[in-house]
Amino acid sequence: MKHEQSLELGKRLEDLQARFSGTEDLCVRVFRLRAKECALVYLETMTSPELVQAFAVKPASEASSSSLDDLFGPLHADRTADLARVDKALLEGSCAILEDGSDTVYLIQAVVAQARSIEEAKGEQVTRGPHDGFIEPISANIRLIRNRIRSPKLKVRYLTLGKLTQTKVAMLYLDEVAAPYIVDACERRLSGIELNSLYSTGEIEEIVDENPLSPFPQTLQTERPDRTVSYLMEGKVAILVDGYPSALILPITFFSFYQSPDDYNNRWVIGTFNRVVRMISFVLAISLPAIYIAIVSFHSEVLPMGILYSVKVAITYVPFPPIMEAITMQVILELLKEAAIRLHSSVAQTIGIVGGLVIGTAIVEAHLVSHTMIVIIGLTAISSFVTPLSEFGTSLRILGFSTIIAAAMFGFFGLSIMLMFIFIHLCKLEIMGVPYFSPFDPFRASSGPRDAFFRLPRFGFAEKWNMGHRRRGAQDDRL
Amino acid sequence: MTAYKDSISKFGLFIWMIKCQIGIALLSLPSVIQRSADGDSWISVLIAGCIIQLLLLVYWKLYTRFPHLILSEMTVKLFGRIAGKAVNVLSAILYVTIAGYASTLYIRLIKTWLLPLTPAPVILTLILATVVYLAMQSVRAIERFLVITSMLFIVIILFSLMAFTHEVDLSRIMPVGTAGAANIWTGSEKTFLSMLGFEVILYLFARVTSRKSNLLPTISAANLFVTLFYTYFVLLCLIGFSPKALELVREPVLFLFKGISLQLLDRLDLIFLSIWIFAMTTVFVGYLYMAGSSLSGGPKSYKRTVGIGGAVIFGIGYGLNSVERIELITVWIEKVYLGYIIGLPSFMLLVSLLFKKRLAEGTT
Repeated sequence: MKHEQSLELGKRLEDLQARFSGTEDLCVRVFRLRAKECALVYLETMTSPELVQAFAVKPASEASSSSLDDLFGPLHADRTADLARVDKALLEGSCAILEDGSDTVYLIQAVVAQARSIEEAKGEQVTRGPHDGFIEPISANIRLIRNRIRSPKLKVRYLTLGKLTQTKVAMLYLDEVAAPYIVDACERRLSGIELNSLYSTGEIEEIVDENPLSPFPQTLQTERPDRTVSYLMEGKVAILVDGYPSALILPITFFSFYQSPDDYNNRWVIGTFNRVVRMISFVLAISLPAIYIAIVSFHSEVLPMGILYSVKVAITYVPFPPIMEAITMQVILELLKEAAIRLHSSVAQTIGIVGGLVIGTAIVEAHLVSHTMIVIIGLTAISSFVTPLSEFGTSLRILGFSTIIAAAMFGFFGLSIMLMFIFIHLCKLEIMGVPYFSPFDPFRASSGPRDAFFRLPRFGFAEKWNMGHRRRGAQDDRL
Repeated sequence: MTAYKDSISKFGLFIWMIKCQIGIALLSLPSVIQRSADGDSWISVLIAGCIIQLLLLVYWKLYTRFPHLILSEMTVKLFGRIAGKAVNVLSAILYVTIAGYASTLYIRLIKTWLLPLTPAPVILTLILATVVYLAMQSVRAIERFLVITSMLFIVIILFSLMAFTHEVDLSRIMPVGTAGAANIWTGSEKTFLSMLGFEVILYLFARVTSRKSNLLPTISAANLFVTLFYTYFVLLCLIGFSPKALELVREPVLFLFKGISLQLLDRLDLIFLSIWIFAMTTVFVGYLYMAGSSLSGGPKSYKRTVGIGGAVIFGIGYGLNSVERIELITVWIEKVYLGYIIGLPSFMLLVSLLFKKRLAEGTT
């Protein structure tokens, strides 16, 4: 049953102001039209004065005889009697026109379009390829995607999340390419979210995560529209949050974190080469310090005399066991990174000098850490930064600690066992029914490893559109 | 129809089978057979492969009669509820015992080569924790892991090529056949014992998704791969070591790499062993999986059974490890187990052939 409301204008305006907690940027202008009291209401901070002038004030003042209905026809304005909708529209930057004695409210869009210009995503630069990145307004981001996929199959679903913030969230996917079970799962998870506030895709990520205890990221955040588009074409779902410049891709696989748009913008030989280098970096990042520690503390016979001699000389004067050295250096590295990452670039240079030169050389000369350990940690850090998406690199460094500890306790045996644990975990992970280690899943092996491990030439792998269909076929098999 | 998670692909069956067969025993095999079959050890391996092929035919025949059942369900169907369950419990005990026995070999190997001072229970705990963690996952997840680790076979074969930098002497296996049929046959028996693990297919046949296709080529290919893999390493040791030296060393395959030195690395045997740990550990998964499937009804009880199975293996492994003259016991374990994996499926096949009618009803 509809709530009985007063149709008297003054009363309605009072109500409205009360609902907006008497905020002072709510502008109310009362005017007369054909002997009827009318009011123009808008939030001055959310609307553009020119647009209000052009589309609300001007038609109303120039009209002599026409009614509001004629002035603001369906083409120019939304009509509603629903107060909640009026509030929402006002908050989104519309202006509302109320009329005495009528419950219809006319809503006219006058949102101020203000956003920073489109720039390249700082964290995901490419050498060759498009240099645009997502920005804050959700509509601009969807436009960036639509510009690349001009197909009616691209479907956008809007949701509003966050009880207080009322944040607009968009879910994008290619109809008929994205498997229905994935779309359903995404929708279910998103609609199940109950939050007071939502500011970023990161918060959605945390809620959507199926295995919150896993060290590996299970969703991918990207600021690159071209990257997002390529995932959409593979049948994945992208989630955009208004006011946050990145897209959340679901479901994701391990190998996605090792792919970069660069691979496809270059010739395939180069692309494949880069992929292989990145795979090597994965192995180095999680196991290099562990291998070194296992060798120096358990199996020094693995090294030939020449190398063994220089390593032993380096660690003789160091009073700590290798594991302490390694963990200290890793922590120092993280400190330097954290210190430099948010500083202004001119100050960050100082950090670089202090970190690289002062700590790096001085710590060795003071015999606190050995030369070789510095080399090893440096290599490991570089390897972990190789991943095209930095959050994955952080996961790797965290995992590196576990292998360091295992190797320090049980040498090669401990290292092998720990690596087995990590790989079992990777094999076990499934996101929305899609295995995290996907190309090793024999069901989808058809074109998997060729594009995951390597980047073989395009004539080598099947059309993506077909892949979508095949994927759905695979799902049918399961049921 | 089995759910996606509980099914494997044809390739998965292949990988499961080879991963369960290639493990710890290979490292010491060449010197074990060499004691009886001498320079003709490699023929023994080939013969063992042929015997396994015959046994696989029996298994496959049994499977075609009950295409939707795993071994523990077949026993219930064939022998009735109580007798069937009893057989299942017995087989689970056997699997766990043989795994416990294998774990003592594993511990001894790690202690001699990598960690001489670490106490055995610690090593055992680490191994079994990994194995139980893996065995608790879905068949599909295990398969994925096995596929990844099977890539290490490529690394291992590359490694083995380096053994040719040693002095190899083909005349050590010449002339072919000098050992005599009886000795070669004794060698085959010993090889057969190290190539165990293929019985896991009795529990996996029913989980393969592509039912319509014939699985015999798949398991035969797996057997061929395993046999050739074993033959290759045995041959490598035969031509790489003098007969005298081969008799003396316990793990000749590791010794093959001990002498090799690269510019950057010495003692390739340790690197090889670290990789081999992956192979050795996954073998246990097969046994735990079989024990778990024999005893459990659903996925929940499966996890619990696997956990308990792991604990029992720990107990057996620890117990056997502290026994002084382990050979007295293990000889019997091997004999019983051999009888079991040959006897039970053959007997079941026989029963099902004799009572054709009743089983035709059973399979529908």
